[in-house]
Amino acid sequence: MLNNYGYCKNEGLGFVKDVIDKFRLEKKDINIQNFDDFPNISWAVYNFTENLNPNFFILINYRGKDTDRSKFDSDKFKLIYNFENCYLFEKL
Amino acid sequence: MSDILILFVQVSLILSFFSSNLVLQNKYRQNKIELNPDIIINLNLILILSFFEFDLIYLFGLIIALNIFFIFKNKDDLINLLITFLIIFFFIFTLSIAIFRELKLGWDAQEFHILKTIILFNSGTFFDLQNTIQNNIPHLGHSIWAFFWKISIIDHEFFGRISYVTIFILVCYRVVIKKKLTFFNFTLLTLFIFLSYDPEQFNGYQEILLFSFILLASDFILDNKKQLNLVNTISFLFLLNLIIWTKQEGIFISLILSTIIFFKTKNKKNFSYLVLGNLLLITFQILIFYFSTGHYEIQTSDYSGIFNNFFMIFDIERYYYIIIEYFITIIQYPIILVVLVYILSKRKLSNKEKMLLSFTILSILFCMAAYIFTNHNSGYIYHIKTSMSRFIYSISAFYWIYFLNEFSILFKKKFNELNYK
Repeated sequence: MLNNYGYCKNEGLGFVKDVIDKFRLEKKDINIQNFDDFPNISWAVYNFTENLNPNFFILINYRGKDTDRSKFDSDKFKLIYNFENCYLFEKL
Repeated sequence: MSDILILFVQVSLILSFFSSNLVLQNKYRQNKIELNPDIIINLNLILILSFFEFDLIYLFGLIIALNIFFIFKNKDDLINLLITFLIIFFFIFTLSIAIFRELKLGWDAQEFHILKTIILFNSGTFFDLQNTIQNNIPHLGHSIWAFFWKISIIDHEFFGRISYVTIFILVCYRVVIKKKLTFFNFTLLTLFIFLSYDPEQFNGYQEILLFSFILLASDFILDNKKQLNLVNTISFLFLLNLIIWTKQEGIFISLILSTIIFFKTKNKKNFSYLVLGNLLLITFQILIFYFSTGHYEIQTSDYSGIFNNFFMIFDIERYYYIIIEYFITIIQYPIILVVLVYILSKRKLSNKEKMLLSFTILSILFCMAAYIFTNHNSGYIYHIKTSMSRFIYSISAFYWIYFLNEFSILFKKKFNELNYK
């Protein structure tokens, strides 16, 4: 699956799975956003029946807040972990 | 190893659900019931129950109990039944492993098909899907996916998706092997599955279901021996209902199929029932979407303001792109080209060939209209490039049936000639 969905490219499933395991994140406590032309991989992680009020934000293919596509203001979050263009932020 | 074992169990479970089709073939033949109504009824049941809060596990239990009853009632022919079961199982299992090795969901599948499936998997109904994006798209495929995902012993979407492989193989088997299983039939089936299999179509897209349903419909339309009696008319209508609820273009495909059936029908009364029934089914779907979402749009937003786009009809560049992409795509699925060249080289056309040419003209007109009036947010070229190949793949089913029929006749003729000499 990693070959098809990528680690920190395409949908970035590898990074998502990795940080969930590494930081023992609860699935209902995360939000995933992809800033490139790839579908959001949330379907492989979330349980859609639970209410989502996430504290953790996983960003895939994020190239900073100055890019046209980005509506994510990283100043309002604390950086926990990053690998290339993939980030894990926590709400301040 | 455990993955293979789970896959083995899942394929067995899904195939058990459809096993009445293997048992009842003789009865269908005796009563001139041509359209494998059990597959059609079972899938329509999944569709209907998706509108209600109903635990589909009960439906699975009920169908399995019925199938066991059918097997005991027809136990004289158990050896043939077992051979058929094993062949179909072999193909489903092999294709499932091939897909399992390259596990991937396509773009649209990740964007919305899987989300709708997850909602249905979590006991949601059709009305819960109205809060998702693309809320005017039909949901039969999502219901089937969710239903078989729910009965699997492992909670992974792929085990629901195997049902698409099962429907594809089961229909391929039915259209190739009509009576007895022979070495020739088996070889033809293997070749047909091998040549028509496209791994891309099994990535959660709905076109593989459309392909299978069109295969079943065209097998009925292109066979002169199969007549539109009342039972077949009703079965055909239920099949059209599956096509309508698989994808939005299903509405137009169902209209094309019910129109061209005119050429083969002697009983015009049943033909008028079919056309009227089809129009009612389409109206019913539009009304359901309209009252559940408050609006009805074809391909949400892609065709909004279609009347404002009317002057696109004079956009020559669009025609150019559509025609170029159409030719590129039929090279990708050459069966269409092969059949059309063969037919056009004939001096006299039979009814079957007239139906095929009508199907070709109507489907090209539909294709033209779909891409001329598109208002896709990434532009019409993007829309054409990302969706035409899947549409052409689904309609190629019609050409496959013609090819299989002609090839079988030609082979038998040559074989008889050799024997005679």
